[in-house]
This record gives sequence, structure tokens and C-alpha cells, in this order.
Amino acid sequence: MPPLVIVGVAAVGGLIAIPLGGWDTVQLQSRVLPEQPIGQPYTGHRLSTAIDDVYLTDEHPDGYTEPDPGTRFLVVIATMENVTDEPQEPLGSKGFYAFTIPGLLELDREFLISDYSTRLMRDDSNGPSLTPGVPDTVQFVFVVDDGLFAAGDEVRIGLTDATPESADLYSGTRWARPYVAVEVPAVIRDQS
Amino acid sequence: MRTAVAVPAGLGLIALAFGVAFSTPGDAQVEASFAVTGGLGEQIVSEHLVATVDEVGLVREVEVGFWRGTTAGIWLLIDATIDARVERTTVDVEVYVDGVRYSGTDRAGSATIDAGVVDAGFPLTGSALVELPADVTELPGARTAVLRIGTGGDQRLDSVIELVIDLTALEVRDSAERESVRDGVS
Repeated sequence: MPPLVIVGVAAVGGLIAIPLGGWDTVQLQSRVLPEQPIGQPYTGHRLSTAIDDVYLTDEHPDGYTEPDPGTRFLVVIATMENVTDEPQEPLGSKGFYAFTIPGLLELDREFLISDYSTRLMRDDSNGPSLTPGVPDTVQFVFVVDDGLFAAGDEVRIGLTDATPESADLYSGTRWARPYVAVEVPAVIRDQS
Repeated sequence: MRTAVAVPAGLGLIALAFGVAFSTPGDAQVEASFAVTGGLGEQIVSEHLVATVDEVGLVREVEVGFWRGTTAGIWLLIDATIDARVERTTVDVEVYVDGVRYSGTDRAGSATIDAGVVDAGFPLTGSALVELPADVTELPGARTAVLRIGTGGDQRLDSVIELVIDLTALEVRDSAERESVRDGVS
């Protein structure tokens, strides 16, 4: 059978499969994100990040902040290392967060600074910056609506990367084309 | 004759174009800070600050006031006396090693000398701490690290104080204790 006929038959078959739902379970390969096991670091252009733990709690790790009614704290523990040539904030800023949490923290979505805090596990200091070449474990505490997440849920935390470019309007680096590079499937614990 | 002149002239112009291209200063040179340099124990005066760095050292753990600083890296401990030259200003301490910028830590709260402001004529004496990688003494540029004392923010085209430090020559101590920042004598 000539190759042209084989290709033609396959193409017609593929077209017919569309209305019949034959492609519904086929995922575009470009949309399949590689999985990163919990605790394993992914190294991008800004940070090396390993998600170590994710849990829900009603007790803020600072020991005194009370949750507002109808909210809980979602705590993410991550071991991070700054791989750039200047200090970096652990979470980053709008448009290029170090990681994403579906339904809570997403690229290009405004996230109020009052809705989260970062602490260095080493000495409980608030709002630390990461020194180039010095790994440390950071605790991220997010205020979440009660019911948004539940203990036992699997959350797929996306670790991000972007392209460093020299900034024009300020001194330093601007991060272009941020994207989720890998996903870390993590089961949320309850720490009451 | 005309060819004999034209070919070398053309090559010369190309070489000249390369020379112009490679000798034109880039942003890093055009916007560089104006550094006033000096050594340990010398009073160094910039447009904004008057600083004397008395001693620098590498320590694995440090106590400044009531704060105990541990790190997966190593601390550069800087003892200095600083006051403003003309008007109240903030103090910012940074170290550059082979083009990499390391900032003074703010984890010690108000205990370090770069945590707040200084006024003209009212010098403060204290320490600053810069967290560096554990293997910093093995990095290229460790012999010519630059300690920069400025006022923070965008320092392009601004006046700063700089000292060159050979990190490989510094003794590494396991621990050190320092008082919180206090009134000093310049």
C-alpha cells in the first residue's frame, strides 16, 4: 500500500475520532509537566527549590497570630538555594513566584502580602532574603479559606522558572516568560 | 597604487571600528558608583558617610546583643564606626566577591550598625554581618572581595566607601560575641 494512502487513512481516522471523543483522553505532550518527588530539589535560573512538607494548621508557627474566623493556615516548608548573583526573596513577586499552588498562588495573579508570611526555620526570622550559594529551609504560611484545602488532599505544587534578562528601568535582573517547570505532588497533612 | 592604498586603508578602518566598539564603555562603567577607597583602621569619607572599619573576620556563629546568628554558610563580621557626613542617612553594607553581591543581614534586628540611620556628628560603633557561602574562601575573587558601605537603594552614580579584603587571609573562628550598636567616637 502506498505511504500516501496510509497517511490519508490515518488522517481521516483521526478526524472522525474527534466528534466521537477519541481524543478526549489524549493529553498534549507539551502540557504534561514532569513530576518532582517531594524533597527533591528542582534547580531553575533563580532558585533551587525542594518542597519538603505541606500541612494545614490553626496555630500560626509564630505562636501568637490567630486565624480569622473561617480561615486556616496552609504551611509549606521548602529548602531553597539562591543560584543567582544577588540576594533573592524566597517567594519572589507577582508574575514570578518561586512556586504555585493551584487555587491559591498562581503566576500572573496578584497575591496580597498580608495573606502570607515567610520565616527562616533556622532562627525564626521573618521575611528573610536568600543569600547566593547558601541553602536554607524556609517556612511559608498562607492564610486560606477554611474548606479550600483539606487534610489528605493531594496538591500539585508547581516549581517555576523564567529567563533572566537585564532590566532597563532599574538596576538588576528582570525575569521574563515565567512558567511552571515541574510539579510536586504532595499530600496535605493536618497539624492541629 | 590605488589598490595598494585602498586595501590596507579598508583593513585599518575595520580595525578602528572594532577598537571603537570594544573601547566604548558599557552601562556598568557609565553608571558605576564613585568609590572612595581605604584600608582597615583608616577613616574613609564619602559624600554621605564617614566610616572607619576596624576589623573584619570570618565566623561560623555569632552573637550580637541578644541575637544568635547561625548559618549554613559563614559570616563576615565587620566592626566599624560610622556617622553621616552632612545629614541623616541610612547605612547599607554589601560585599562583592567575583561580581556576586552579598547583603548585610537584617536578621539581627536593630543590633547591627546597618540596621538603622546615622546622623552627622553622632557616630555609631557596632558590627555588621554579611552571610557568605561556606566555601567563599575558595571562590575566584576571594582575595579581592570588596566591602562596600553606602546608603542603600540604587547606588548607580552615587558615592560609596569601598575596602578590598583578602578573605583567604582571614582567620575562621567558630564563634564570636559582639555588643549591639552603640554610641561611638569617630
